[in-house]
Amino acid sequence: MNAFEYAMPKSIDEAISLLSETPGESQVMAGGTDLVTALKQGIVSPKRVVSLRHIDELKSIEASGDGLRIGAMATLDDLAAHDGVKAGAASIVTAIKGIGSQQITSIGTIGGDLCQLPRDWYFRLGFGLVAQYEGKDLVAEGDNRYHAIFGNDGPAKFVNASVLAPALIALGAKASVVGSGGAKREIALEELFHAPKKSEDGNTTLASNEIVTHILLPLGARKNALYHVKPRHGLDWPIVSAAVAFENDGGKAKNARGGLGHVAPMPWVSASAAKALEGAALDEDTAAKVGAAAAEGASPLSRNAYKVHLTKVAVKRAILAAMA
Amino acid sequence: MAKNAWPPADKTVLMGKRIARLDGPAKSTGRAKYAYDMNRPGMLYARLLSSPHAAAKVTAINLDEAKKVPGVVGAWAEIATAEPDNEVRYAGEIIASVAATSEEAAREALTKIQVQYQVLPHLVDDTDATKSDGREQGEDKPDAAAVDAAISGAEVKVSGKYGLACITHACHESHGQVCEFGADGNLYVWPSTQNVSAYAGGLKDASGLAVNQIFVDCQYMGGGFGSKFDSGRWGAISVRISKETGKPVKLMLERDQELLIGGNRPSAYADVTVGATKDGTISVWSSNAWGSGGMGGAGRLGVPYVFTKIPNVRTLSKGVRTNRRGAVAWRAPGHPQACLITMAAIADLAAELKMDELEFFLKNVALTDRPEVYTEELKIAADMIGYKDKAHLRSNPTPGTLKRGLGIGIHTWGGIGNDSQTEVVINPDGAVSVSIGTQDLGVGTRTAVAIVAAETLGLPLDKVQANIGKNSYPPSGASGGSTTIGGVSASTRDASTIALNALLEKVAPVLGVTVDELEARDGKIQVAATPSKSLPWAKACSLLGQMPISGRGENKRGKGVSDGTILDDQGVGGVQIADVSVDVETGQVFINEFVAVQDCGRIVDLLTAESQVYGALIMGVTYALYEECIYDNITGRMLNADLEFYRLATLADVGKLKVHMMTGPGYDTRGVIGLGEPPVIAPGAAISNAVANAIGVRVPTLPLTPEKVLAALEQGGKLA
Amino acid sequence: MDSETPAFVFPCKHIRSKEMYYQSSTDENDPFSSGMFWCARTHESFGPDGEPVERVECKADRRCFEE
Repeated sequence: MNAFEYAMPKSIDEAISLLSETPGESQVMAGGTDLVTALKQGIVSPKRVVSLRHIDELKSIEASGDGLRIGAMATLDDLAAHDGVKAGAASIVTAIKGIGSQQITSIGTIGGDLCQLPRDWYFRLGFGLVAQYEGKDLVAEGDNRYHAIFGNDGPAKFVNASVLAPALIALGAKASVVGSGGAKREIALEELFHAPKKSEDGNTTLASNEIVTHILLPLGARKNALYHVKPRHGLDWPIVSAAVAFENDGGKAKNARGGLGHVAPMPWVSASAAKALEGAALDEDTAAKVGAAAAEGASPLSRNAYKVHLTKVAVKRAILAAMA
Repeated sequence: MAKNAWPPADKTVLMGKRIARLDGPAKSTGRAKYAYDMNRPGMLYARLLSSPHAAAKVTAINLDEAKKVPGVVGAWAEIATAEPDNEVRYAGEIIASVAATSEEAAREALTKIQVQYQVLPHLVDDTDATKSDGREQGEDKPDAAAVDAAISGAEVKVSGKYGLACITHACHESHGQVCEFGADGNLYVWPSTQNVSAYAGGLKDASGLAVNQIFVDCQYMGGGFGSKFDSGRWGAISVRISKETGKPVKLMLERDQELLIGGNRPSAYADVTVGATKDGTISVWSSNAWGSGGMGGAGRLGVPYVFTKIPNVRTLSKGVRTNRRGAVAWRAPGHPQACLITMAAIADLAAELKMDELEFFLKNVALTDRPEVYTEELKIAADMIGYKDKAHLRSNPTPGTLKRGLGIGIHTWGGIGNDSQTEVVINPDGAVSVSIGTQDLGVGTRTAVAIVAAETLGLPLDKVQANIGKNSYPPSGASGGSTTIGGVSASTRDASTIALNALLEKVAPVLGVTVDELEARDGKIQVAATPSKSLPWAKACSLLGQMPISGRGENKRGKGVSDGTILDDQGVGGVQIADVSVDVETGQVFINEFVAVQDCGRIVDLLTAESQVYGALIMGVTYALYEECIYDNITGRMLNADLEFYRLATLADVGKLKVHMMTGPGYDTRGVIGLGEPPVIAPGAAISNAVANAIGVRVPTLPLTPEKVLAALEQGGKLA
Repeated sequence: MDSETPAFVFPCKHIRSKEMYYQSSTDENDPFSSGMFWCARTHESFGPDGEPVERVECKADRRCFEE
């Protein structure tokens, strides 16, 4: 770990002013559950860490229109305990409970979950997001059991680590982003993520002096659920997760959306699955067919084809859970 | 006169009862200080730089920038930069050290050390012996034509590949120590060790002191599992730094280093053919095994395991040298590996015969060294898990996607008492001190020592002060091979008896009886035949005048058997049955129930004995389902030197654990026998067999990850 | 001395096994002994010469051997 400045701004504007335009110079800290480890291990070595913990306006969860405006610093526990979330976004509650660690959910935040660094072991050993070693693509040629099965045709083959993104994307959430000079933009959540061409590009589309301030979550009478496959019951990260949301239109799915987690460098939106579900009868047969459709176009690496199978199963089970 | 032999089990007051650990409150409140908790005035924090390369030659080390970091007191190269001693043989090997006034400065300094490596080819993959580039070692036992004949003549036979990945000890408290040279010129050391009495020997050269000038103190330690006998390079380095700087030094391994270099349990893989007669009697065993213990030997692999009386046996075995940290004893070295390979092959044979697994094991216990024990334990374990109601043949799986199965594993261990000495001092005020240079790895040794002394002296537990964990106490063996409880119980019983007899000499004339007529019981010295004739303990001790009396007791390996006291003994058997569910769509394995039936001779503390078995089952679930040192073939590095992807079971993962300790005639009429290793041997076998029973196919190797379970289902044509 | 009895060969003084620390005599064929050794100089399962530490291997023909 290198020595760094630690800033505790009280407002969003102050936070932005403390962030550098140069990537890598400053680092935003939310709950810090992963960042502190990354700092200690030298995965990130910023000159300044800017904590968002003292910005009160980022912590609230408020009703807004037909949904919620969730501050990026709302904790995972706050989110899972929120009546509106419990009633309208069961998939989010499932994702949070699935983390299996009171320590993480009590201090970890929605913004931190979305913007966290990948847990890819090559990245964590210091080989970069686009893990290269002596001209070799470490993931493609090495141990890729937990790596991407979609969106891996570029140099990045890690998987996005967010447990909430698939559910939020399925529910049609948007991210409110503030950057240099207080410039605000609102983007569909899936636009927050990208597969970098170079390690320095990071795993989100945020500029180095931009932060996610709020998540706008529409809530309606939608069936929604998330299913994840984790090695352990206790604290662990999913190998694959699938979230779905749809309206029950007389026994048929309407406005179907979905998101897959931990299968691509970004939360993966499967157009083929959404298409297969739209208008289909809500039954077991549909669930299986949509699961199969979700796996279309998968490009597994040398040893992670099992994740394609798990994707089918997770999608099927998420739909069945949403129907129940 | 008090006798050394144990009193009958039904006559004891403390021994064999459920007694909570004496140091439980200290541990749960944080009052207990572990090596990591020790802080000395002016103490430096030392850290080690590990090699990122699995095979290389170091050609230069530049420490200049590291020394410039504020707070850094020194930086040292720990490997030569010239031939022939500059070779690195595994990733993680120690290259350099730093010492600083804060942990942060020490960590930062490590990043400033510049090392030039000439990278060499490496081999880290041990799963395929045919790709080991001639790095095999070991001799094959001569071929036996009789075995070939027995195989071809077997009425039923199966062949399979079985194995276990290399795992590491993953001690919760990492390896290391705090050390300080006193003004008296002596060295004071607070290590995390399972070898208190002989630990100092490893620091002799680094300190330049004789062993009698090195004082070791380890009151509490957070896990060793066989990896904390040696003081290690870290121990020697921290002493050298302390000597050079004149400051106390704390050097504990970082978590990634703990997993990289704290110790490895060798992998083991085997191609096995096993045959039987149609009625289910095993007739032949043939195996070709390999495994890797890093750059050293791979240790012993005794197959066929437990079923040692199979008539026709051929075993070939070799070690593959890989660029990994060497093998370090891990609870029951070689046994979990041998057990998995044997029990899995045998269960596959039962399945091939379409014979119930329990029935098959019962039928073949005659091929073991203790058929009566295994028979009794198999029946108890089966009752505990509801075997009759749950069992089904492998060919007849339960319906649905969540398939349920049962699996059996049986094991054996020696566990004779270690060489141990205890001193018991009875003071004129009645206070009793028991001192012994043993260590408590967390399993309750301190409590056991107190129980034995208190039982022998007829005192309540709180009247006895148990002093352990220092090498200034009478020497007692390291805690290895499940030898601690037998050794410390025997030497403490011996010492207590000697001290008591000295006291009885004083009491006998006062009560007007001979020494032989007296006993110590219920806080009194009383005439055994007429207990009303007695002296309270304190009153009896006042007869000592002003001088304490003491007894020095001793155990030597095998003494308890040879001298007829049977204070300790050896040879146990245990049976475990796992009840699992497997999601055949996701490959996830869930433990429903897990039963262990274990004998360990005479039990000193039933609660800590049970606790030892519970802990072993949890560790067993962990290596059966999760643990694996994952190495990258390209870089030669360990990919999961963390507790995130080096998974340990959480309590949510272990299912309902049930433990039954064998007691009664035939068990508590034996001496005290160690329990550290036996219950951790069979879990891998039992769980693997249960998974095979559930899903109808064998997952060949541990850990049983979703990836491997799905692959086995696919290969067996059973993927949903 | 009986001519049939092989002369006692001192092992290298740096060889260690866990069994040495808890019993005064060791039985090579004890199925409960680890068969694992380390070198007190390197604290590794290989000696200063990089070769494995084994009871039978740590003999006088190695450059690191010390009686």
